[in-house]
Amino acid sequence: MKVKDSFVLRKIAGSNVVVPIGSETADFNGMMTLNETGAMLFGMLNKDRSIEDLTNAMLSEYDVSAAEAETDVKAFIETLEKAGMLE
Amino acid sequence: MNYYKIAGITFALSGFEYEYFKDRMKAYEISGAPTPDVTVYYEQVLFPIQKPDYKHIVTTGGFREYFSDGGGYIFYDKFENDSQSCAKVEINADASVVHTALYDIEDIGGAPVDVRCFNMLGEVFRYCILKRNGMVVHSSSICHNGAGIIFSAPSGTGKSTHTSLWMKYYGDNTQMINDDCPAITFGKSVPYVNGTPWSGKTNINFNISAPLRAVVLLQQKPENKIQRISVDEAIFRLLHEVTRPAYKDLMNQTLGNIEKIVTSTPVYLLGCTIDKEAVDLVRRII
Repeated sequence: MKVKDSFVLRKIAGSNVVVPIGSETADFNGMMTLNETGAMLFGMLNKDRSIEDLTNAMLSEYDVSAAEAETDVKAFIETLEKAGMLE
Repeated sequence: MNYYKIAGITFALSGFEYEYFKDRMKAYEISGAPTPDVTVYYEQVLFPIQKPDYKHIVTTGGFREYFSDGGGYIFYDKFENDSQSCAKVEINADASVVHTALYDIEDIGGAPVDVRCFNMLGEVFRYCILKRNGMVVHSSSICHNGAGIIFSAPSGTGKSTHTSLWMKYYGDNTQMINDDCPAITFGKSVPYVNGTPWSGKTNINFNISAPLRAVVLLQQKPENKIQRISVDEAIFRLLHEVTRPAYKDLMNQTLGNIEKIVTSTPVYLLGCTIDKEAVDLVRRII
């Protein structure tokens, strides 16, 4: 999966902020802030990635078990899915 | 060619011959023929404008279509059917040359062609300033004792009414800068608030600028109360009151500008009853 092109991630004053681009004023309710892990995963999703790709990235970055990494990745993907950010 | 300077940006305008347009732009006119930052060409055409071949990015409001030619910023307004447009704006990649045109059909959207032309240049300005270290913020702005203050809120909240009270009670040391959408520029040590010819429903704007001292976000509440808000909340609220461009690089620029504001200027949330007491509350804090 990958994140749609219509979202921008940027660090603003210490917060990782995700904003939709091209959206209409009336629809804009969606500013999402991500923690560092989320920002890392989001950044990877600018290309087509599998759950395995993301889990491996987490394992190389953080001291967690494979099971924890997979759970966290799946939860994060579900959040993005619900927000309509994935294509 | 006519020359104007708005928020520090020099414009050379060609083809903008309407009286209404010249009147609205008068305070920003400059003499001579300086090297412009942006040259804008305009023509009024007799036939519907054909849509371009470029890659379509998104359509907003049901009528504004954004395109990319690989670097520039291009938008056309739809008219009647999918292949015809009544307005065209093509800005090149570094926003130094802009081509615009309007198809003059009787009162599209309730406005005559000279008004549409003036408003269209306002939209061009919003894009050009993003490439030049600045940003337009939907707000009513004043200069009080030399300090720039912007009062921002969604339309209808009472920004203009609030600033008119500043003028009423403290008119001796208050000046209106722009009643609807001033330009914030970031070139100096602090952000500056600048007047522009475009000021929403009124013509309340002056060609002045002042260092930005505070951003006050307004909300109508039964009681007057003011507080500093968190950076996250300030970012979220300000994002509602700026142009959110259809282009990733310009959106990045916008977010960068918002960051500059929230890290350099105190942002307050004012719950107010739009009366003198609310004005005095802000004066005490700032």
